[in-house]
Amino acid sequence: MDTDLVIRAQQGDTAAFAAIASAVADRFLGVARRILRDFDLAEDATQQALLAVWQDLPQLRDPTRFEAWSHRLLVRACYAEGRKERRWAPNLRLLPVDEPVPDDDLSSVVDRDLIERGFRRLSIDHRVVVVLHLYLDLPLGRVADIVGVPTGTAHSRLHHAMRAMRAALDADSRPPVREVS
Amino acid sequence: MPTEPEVTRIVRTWLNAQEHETADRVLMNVLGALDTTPQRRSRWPAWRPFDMNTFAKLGIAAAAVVVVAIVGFNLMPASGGVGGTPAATPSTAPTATPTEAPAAAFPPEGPLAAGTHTAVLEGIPLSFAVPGSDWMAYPGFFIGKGGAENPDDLAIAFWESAPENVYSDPCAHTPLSPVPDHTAAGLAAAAAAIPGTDLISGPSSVEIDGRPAQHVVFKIRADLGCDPKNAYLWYDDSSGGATDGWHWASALGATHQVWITEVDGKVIWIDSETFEGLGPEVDQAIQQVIDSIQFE
Repeated sequence: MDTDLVIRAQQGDTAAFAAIASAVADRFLGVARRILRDFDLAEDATQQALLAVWQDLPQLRDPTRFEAWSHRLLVRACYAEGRKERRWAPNLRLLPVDEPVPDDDLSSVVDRDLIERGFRRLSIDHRVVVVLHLYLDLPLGRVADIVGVPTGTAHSRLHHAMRAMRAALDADSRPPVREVS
Repeated sequence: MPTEPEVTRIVRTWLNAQEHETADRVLMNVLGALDTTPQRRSRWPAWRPFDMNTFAKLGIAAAAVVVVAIVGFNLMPASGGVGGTPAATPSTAPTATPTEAPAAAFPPEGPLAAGTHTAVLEGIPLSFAVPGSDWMAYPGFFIGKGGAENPDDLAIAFWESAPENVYSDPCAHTPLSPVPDHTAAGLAAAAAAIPGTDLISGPSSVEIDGRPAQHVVFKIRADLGCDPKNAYLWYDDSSGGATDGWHWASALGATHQVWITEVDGKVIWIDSETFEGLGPEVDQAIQQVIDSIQFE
């Protein structure tokens, strides 16, 4: 982010803030959408985070740290919206079926469902680390900085999340299933 | 069963394969709200990253999970004081008299040594003591220890100019009307009745340095109705017109204490904020500081 823009926005320059917000809004929404798994909540979190950026910018001491700082506000907003998150749909009873399942692990609706379901079962703490690390490609040290936890905790959350996802995907290695009502 | 690297690859691919969303609607809402959304010009760091140098300076054990950042208090900058523009002083005024009040003052930002420190609030010199070496002074006339992101945080604000009023609707930033009497009793009664808070005690009659004072303790309710940082509790507009400073809640469940006294006709306001789930030692530390205050 252009440090000059950040400094101008810190001083109350709305045009500078508009430029900043335009530059980060889509990314914020993408991150929030992936963490919260709900578009409406993600929009709310993004809006909340952008307004928090505007409000709290004067308190940012080091403008060069805007990115980490603003991501922190976004994560906070996701936590706040996450508390409103609807409970995941009731578990469906699954029974084996005979149809073959495509090999491509992402072309299969079944796989997508499994991934989605596994991901939703993760706590927001874990989803945040996964999304920041695997979607934004941030190193875990920076993820830890944003989340406000030691780096070891970020590592541990990622490991836990991947283990949980592995268990979720493992269901796919069992005989194919079909849904019954 | 997929290996962990395979799972990582699958999840990464899945995250990146999801459709790209545009935030145009959100952006429009945000930019449309700027005019009615004031920036918060706190005089102390609301958040800053983990600061190992500060830790080293303070000699805090590495295991202590403390971020040296405080958002426990959030005041807009008032005129004068350390870290801001000094209050009007009589330095060049030939009409200055020996009775003119001294300018506001507070220990400079940084670690506070255990022991006594001095300040000037409302032209009233005073001293206070911190009970340990792990305290910091922050611009904005407040002291604290710990970090607001962590549960062992506490902070005490010494208002260089006492708040004028509280908010009758903290989330909507609606000032109480009519404005309460600018007395310890009037302000304490108002502070005890701020919506969105649960009164724990007060207004109670206590003493600060042997002077009568009012004490109020309340908690921020879980059903506050807005983000705590958008819930403004009280404000100072002593310079007239624009609000010079305000204090907002930092967290749901946080406990706020307010002490208000009067010295030589001036209202002195001190408040503290602590986070939920702390032990009694935190309140004891705050009380130790309050008990140490001496007006000169």
